[in-house]
Amino acid sequence: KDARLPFYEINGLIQQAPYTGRVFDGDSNETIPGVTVNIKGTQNGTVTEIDGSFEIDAQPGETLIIRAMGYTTQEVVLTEETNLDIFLATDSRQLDEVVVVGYGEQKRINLTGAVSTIGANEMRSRPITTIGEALQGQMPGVTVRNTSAQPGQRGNEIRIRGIGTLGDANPLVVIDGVPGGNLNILNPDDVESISVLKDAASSAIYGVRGANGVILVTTKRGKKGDSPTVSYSGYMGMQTPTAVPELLGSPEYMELLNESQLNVGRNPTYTQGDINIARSGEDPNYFANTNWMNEILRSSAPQQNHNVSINGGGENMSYYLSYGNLQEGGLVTGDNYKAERNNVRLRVNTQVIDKLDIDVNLGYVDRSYSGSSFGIGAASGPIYAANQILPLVPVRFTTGGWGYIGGQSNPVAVVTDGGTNDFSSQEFTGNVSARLELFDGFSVRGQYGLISSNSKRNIFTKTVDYFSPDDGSLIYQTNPINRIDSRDYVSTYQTFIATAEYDKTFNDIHDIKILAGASQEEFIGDNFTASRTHLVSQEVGHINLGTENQLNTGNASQNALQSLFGRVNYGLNNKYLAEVNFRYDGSSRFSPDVRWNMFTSASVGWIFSEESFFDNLRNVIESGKIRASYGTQGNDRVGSDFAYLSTYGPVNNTFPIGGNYTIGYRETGVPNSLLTWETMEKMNIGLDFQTLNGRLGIIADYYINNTRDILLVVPLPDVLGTGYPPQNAGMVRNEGWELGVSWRDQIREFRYGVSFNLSDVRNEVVSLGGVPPTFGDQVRLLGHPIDAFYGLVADRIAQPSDFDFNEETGVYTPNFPTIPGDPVQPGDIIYRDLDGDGEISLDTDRTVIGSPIPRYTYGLQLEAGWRGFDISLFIQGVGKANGLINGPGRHALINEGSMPQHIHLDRWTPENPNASYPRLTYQQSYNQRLSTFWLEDASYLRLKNLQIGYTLPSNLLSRLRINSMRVYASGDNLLTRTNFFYAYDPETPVSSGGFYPQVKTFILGVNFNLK
Amino acid sequence: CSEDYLDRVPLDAIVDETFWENEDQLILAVNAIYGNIKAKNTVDFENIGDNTLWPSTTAYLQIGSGNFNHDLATLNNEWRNMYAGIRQCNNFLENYEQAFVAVPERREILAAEVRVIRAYLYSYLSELFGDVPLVTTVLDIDELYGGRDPKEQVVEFVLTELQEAADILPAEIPSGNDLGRIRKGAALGLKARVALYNGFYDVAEVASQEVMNLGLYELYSNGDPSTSYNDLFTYSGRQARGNNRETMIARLHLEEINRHNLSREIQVPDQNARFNPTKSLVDSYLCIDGLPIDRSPLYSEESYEAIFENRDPRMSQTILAPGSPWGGRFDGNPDNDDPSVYTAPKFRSDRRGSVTVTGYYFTKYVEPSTVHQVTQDVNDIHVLRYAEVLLTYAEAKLELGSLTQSDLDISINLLRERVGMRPMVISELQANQLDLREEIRRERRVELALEGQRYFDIKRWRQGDLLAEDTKGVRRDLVLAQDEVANVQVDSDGYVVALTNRRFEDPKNYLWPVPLVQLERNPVLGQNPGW
Repeated sequence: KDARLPFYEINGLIQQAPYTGRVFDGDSNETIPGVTVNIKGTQNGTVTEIDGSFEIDAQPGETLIIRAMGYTTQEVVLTEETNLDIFLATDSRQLDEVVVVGYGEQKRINLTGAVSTIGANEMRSRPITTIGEALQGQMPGVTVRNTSAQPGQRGNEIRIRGIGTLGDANPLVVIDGVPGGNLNILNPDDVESISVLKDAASSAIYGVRGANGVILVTTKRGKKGDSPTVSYSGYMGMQTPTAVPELLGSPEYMELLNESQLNVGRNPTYTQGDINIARSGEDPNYFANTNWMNEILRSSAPQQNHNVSINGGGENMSYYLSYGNLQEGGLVTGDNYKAERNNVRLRVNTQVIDKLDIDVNLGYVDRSYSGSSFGIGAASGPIYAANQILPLVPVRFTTGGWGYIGGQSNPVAVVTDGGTNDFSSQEFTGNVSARLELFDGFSVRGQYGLISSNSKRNIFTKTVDYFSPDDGSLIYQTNPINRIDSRDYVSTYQTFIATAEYDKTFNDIHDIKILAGASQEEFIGDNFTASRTHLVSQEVGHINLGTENQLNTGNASQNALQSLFGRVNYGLNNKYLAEVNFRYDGSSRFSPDVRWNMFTSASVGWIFSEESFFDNLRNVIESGKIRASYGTQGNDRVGSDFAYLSTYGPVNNTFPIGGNYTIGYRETGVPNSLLTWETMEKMNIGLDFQTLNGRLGIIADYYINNTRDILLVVPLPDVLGTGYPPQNAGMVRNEGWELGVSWRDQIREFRYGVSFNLSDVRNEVVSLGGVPPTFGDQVRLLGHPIDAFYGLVADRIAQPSDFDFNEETGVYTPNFPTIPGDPVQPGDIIYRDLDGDGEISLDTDRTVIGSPIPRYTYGLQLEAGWRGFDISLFIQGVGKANGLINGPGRHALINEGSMPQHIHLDRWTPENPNASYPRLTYQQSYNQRLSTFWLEDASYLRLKNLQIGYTLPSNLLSRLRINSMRVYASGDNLLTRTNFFYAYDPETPVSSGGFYPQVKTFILGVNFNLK
Repeated sequence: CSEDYLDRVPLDAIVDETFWENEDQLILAVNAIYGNIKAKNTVDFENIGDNTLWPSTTAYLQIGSGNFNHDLATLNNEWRNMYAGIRQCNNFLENYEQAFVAVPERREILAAEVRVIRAYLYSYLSELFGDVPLVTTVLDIDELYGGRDPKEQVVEFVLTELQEAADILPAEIPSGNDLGRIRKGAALGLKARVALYNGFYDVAEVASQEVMNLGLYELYSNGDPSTSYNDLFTYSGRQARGNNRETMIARLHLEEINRHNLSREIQVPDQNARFNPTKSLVDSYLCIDGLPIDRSPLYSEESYEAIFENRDPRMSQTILAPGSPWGGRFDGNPDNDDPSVYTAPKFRSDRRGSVTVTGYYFTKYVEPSTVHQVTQDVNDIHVLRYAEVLLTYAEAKLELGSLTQSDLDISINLLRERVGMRPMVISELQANQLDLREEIRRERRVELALEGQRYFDIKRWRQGDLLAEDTKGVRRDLVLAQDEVANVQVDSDGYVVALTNRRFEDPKNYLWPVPLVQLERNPVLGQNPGW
């Protein structure tokens, strides 16, 4: 017999031996304490320790039953392997799940409002840098658009149930009970859960700021009685752009330029000889062949993230301390476009005396990002410039100096030597609360929150010289005068919140919960900017080193809010639920006469599965609930803090009277003392359903949100002579539905889950306060979505057969309607004459042709695990949306700064009548007016994340004192299916190009815990 | 809840009760108002006329060629910007008397400066749009829906205001800390212009005579007739230099801080020049013998260089002549390896030098030291100068039927004397069967080329047909680099056609349309004839 085996037969009897093992959460791969482990058919059993471990005497062939709250029960048939790692699938039956709601918590089963949640699991092991990215595709009704992937400045636009305002549509963010935090700088690794409050019932308690929905973020905390756990999670990986413009080389550029000039009766610039020189490369100074997009963009950039935390607790306290470091490299050439963030968080919960709980939660962020003085933006910066510069320009002349031919600066030179734009910021958040239980069911709580930030920006604009390769003379300078610009931004936000709560069940059938509270908060910001020119050296950029033009300016702002709020929940027999919320808000943004207002909501729920007539069905359908809510909320973000006051402010550098820099003063706008908030009225009906032993869960909602008194800057006749005051006018309606379905199951050791969400919102401007709309490429028109695209309807590209041709003069006369003045020729776009008057007019022949507001947003998450292996796949997309790229991002040769791209080879010529691009017309842009021809389909389906992980067996790790360890490979944005313009990501905002590209990120990472 | 907590005030602005208290505040308010005087935009208006062509599709080209509609943004921008300035002026004028000023005259002088700027803004509005709402008070948002007031009423208001301001303003050329301020001569000169524009020749005559009688102003000269005129529009002639007694209103700029881009736009190296002189302008310069090119034996078109020979000296100080220094780098002469000297027009967009579409470039208003840099130009933009007053005097006298040779000698012939051009002599004109009115108008066109007056002159002379003509350039066979123009469109006489398809409808194009958005917001405004 092999002595190493724990089993040995004595007289044919198999002796029992100790089985050891650990139980893990199949999603997070964290160990689970307190899990009961029983041998099937016996009374023998045990409970897992704090580190998830257990030991039980059993013999092969017996079956272990592992049960834990919130997980599906698993059975394991024992073999001769005595060291077991058991992964439990979470139970989608969320009956006992506790959800964070405004100023408190609520059991999901008792919710009467529309609340979506995600936990830390949904964010783990993804190369996300902001919470916004984590939310994308995860919840029905929450639409996230990632507009830029620039390091340190990832922009995401979060919209909850559409866009209910023509102003600021951002949801209110509440971090650990304190409103107004910055989601973009919070370390996703510190987040325990996120609740999104979507309807009036759940968000009315946030009153004047809840109209756009509320995002509640709860950070992690330690657990009382847990022994200290040290956790590390980290990854390293690479980003690559999802889409990059493909510019043509010099010979093709020259040919197309010639063609475009011939097309408009201009002389072609280049001779065949010139083109041959460019092709042969024999004149690398004046006929180079540079692919500027490749020069300005790197093929990949590094990204890494490390988080270390320690958490645990004693008898009366718990603690969580974490440090996170995130480093992002930039895709732009040179060393300037990169970012770093350091997050520290400490949370300590103590029970000081018997009934007093104190929660201290401190966060500190030190972050920085940099760029070149060139900046980056929708129509500026190096990427935009790469779209505009001739391929004939060399990056460097053969003499080694920066290349320059004409027209514009060399973008590689500027990002390399043209100076820097460095931003750094320190943000401190302090959040202290104390809760005192006065008597049974009655407690009071006080909370103080502070968010203080201190940021600095240094823009050092350096001179770049270009010297002639022929004689070394200075031929051009970018930023001929160097300059240093130092900016300082300071802001402080403070809030004090006091609440009292009473929670009691009477006679076992009446559940009553009452909350009342008061709060006040203020924000003060102060900015200062100073600049100087003529720095004596370009080596060091500090304000102290400039010698001329010492200028400075600044601005400051403040606002405050005071509120009373309350909530009453009543439940009868765990069947009938009712909830009432109110909030009475006063905002400093409005005149004292119209400063205060009340917002209320009411909601009811009926858990019909608790009714007696449901008794027979309960085996199949464990729970079912119908809920309905109605209420009002406000939006006080009017753009200006003092729109109700008449103020005078400085205007700098207007007219140098006396030959000096002058400052003038003028009225800043027309006040509107009647200005008050927008009111959103929200109706919601929802259904929650749990069936098939908790494996299937369904949540469905239907809602109508009407925003009234929209703060609208109503354009007025300009005889007014100043900016238009915001007025309360207009109405926008959002009507939509949401569906979330989840399925989770475990078949022996194979666990898997599917969750899917789909939502739609129809946005419609119902009223513009009687003011006629102003027409542009995007309009706000009655009966159409906000900022709908408005343009001509393109029919097709005109062919010679669409014209009468006069052989004598060689003139083509169109026999279709055109815009007077447009020199229309074969190869130009034919528009539809919508009003049939025989002429195309921008007045009468434009119509709504699309909308940028995404519809049919969806997410699909597939997860599976087997023993230590796990795989998950997350698909996300938009079913319907339009986008638009214009200017040099889309067009060729319409001006001297729009370089042809590969797609422009398929332009119309007599030989290529079925072209995808009209004929090229030098310095003409009449074909490029907004029409359906240029409107892009911005719908997409994206493999948002794919990850494969492996949790190492615990017997390997125990020697290293490692409690659990998972290694994984993960990728974000790996595949995208879209019909959008190839050069940009479908999430790119309407722009003329130049956006920092959206990235795919591939990472390798590891998580482990030490106990 | 305490109300105090919510009673916040702006931290970086002043609430209006605390403004309008002292002289310093008045000066600050006036400083802001001066910002409403047009800067380079003054010159941009030249693109609408027939002196120059901005070759890409700009709003000015569209307006000048008649191919535009009332939705064109530029129309609305002008409307909006003018009324923005007017509100600032009205606000000042309604409130300035509240301020305590130790010497009340100083307060009144500031107010008079503001009134002149308001009149200046209204003069643009009435010229461009005809009837416009005459707003002289600070409007509340429920007072915006009135109709337009007749142009005549607006003009009358402007003329009255300018006279009343002139009566208050000191007669001086401002210098030192007052450099750039509007003074009596500016108010009267502007009055003369507005009167002339509107056919009040008697008023124009008197006003210009009054300016001349002030004895303050004189034509700028550096002593050299061959450069004096050109110098006025370079850094040499900047008011800040202290030796320019000609310019009466200028939009000043400041080194490194408050700059424009005009010099570069005129001769932009390596791109298409934005300002391309037209054949029409080039042809309007007389020969040195005082005869038009079609009459003078001195005129020759046998070469590009010949066109510039024996002409009014202002021509080569306005239009870039071969052999002149320029900032446009490599020209259309492959054998010219000196990028600082211009020899031949360049038609080829190879980014090595400034490209022309007409075969001509400007040199007027070019400060060569700033051409190679974007937006580094601090040239004064001349809004009103004494030369115009003299031209106005002569034209007003002519239209009144009282023009004499001595009138010409104290006006137009001073302009000619500055540059060494043969004087205008009525008897000579008659002998040569030249029309006096035509010659006076020619003088105005030549002297004020590129100063933003031409479009308004064409309109008031009812010569709209000129704007329907093709915009032409040099004769193609005179271009040195023939390969660069092989494909260029020419007319039957071989002249380059730079822009065709221009339209001008009478009366429609004599006024801009009321901008679409203004009409939408207030239909009571009504539309101009033909639109």
